[in-house]
Amino acid sequence: MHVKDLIEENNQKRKQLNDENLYYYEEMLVYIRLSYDKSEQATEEILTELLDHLLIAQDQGRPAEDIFSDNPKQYAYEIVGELPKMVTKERITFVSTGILSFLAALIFASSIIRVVLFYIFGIGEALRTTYLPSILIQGVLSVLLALLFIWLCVQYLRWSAFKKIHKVKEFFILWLVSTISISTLFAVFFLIPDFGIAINIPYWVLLIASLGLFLINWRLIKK
Amino acid sequence: MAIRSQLYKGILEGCILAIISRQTVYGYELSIKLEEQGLEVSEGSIYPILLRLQKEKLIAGEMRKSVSGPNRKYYTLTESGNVALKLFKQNWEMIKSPVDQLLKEDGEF
Repeated sequence: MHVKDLIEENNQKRKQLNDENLYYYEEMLVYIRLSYDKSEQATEEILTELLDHLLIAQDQGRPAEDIFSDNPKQYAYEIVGELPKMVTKERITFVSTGILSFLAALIFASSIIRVVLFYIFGIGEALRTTYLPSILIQGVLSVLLALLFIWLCVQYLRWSAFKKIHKVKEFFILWLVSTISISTLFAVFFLIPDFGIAINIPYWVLLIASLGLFLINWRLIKK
Repeated sequence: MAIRSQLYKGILEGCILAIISRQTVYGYELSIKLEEQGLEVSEGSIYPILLRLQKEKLIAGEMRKSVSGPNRKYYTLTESGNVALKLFKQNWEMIKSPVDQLLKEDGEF
């Protein structure tokens, strides 16, 4: 069975859980799914098995603690420890689609505004003067920054699983991390000086290029 | 309370292999069979073991439709699983009577 079908089936079946079991199971599910370097197929298969077992137990009037112990985080940790790693091919697709969507979104966001401003309102310029060495450094740095941001988020989610954290506190932490990340991203683009070979690229070309990247990415995910 | 020591985990692995060698089972079914044998085990503890046995290629899991409808993962023993089970049986035979003997002498029985 394909991973997508397993996830879909899981989403449907989860609706049968009562409130306590749903809370217990979803915390475990989040923790296990966040083990991003594990085989996705194996991850979804074990989640299906755990859910099926829990549903049977629920019918018999037994709580989740009865099946998976009263320490769900420890249990989920044990499961993750035994899950097989992603194979290299899967891993390459996983990382490259992530980087591609980030770059596509970055180029799209920076060119769509210019295209609209110039061609509709006649404001600004139609060409972007790009300094090749600068854009290369900026590109690499921003990808690294995005990876760091995702890594931080995953670490936070894993840490906070099974903990009841105050919503305001949680919002503040996420707000702080996002703000620091976005400002660093801006700093990367404003502080790195333009140098080396320069080429002029029309913004509409960049826009089409970003759509092209989205398309390539979509094909990669579909494969 | 379920016994969770390393020793017990090793023995449990052997018992799980023995059950799967007799018939193809899915997780819940396996936990019932262990319970029927009087092996006191927290039900969920079989899943990390099943994952490990798959990683070591002693068993193979396959998702397929069950008689009652839903997709379930059924486990079968592999060739190396068979070898491991034989080895476990030999080791168990070797250890069983000396340990029994020793504990009896201690007046534990």
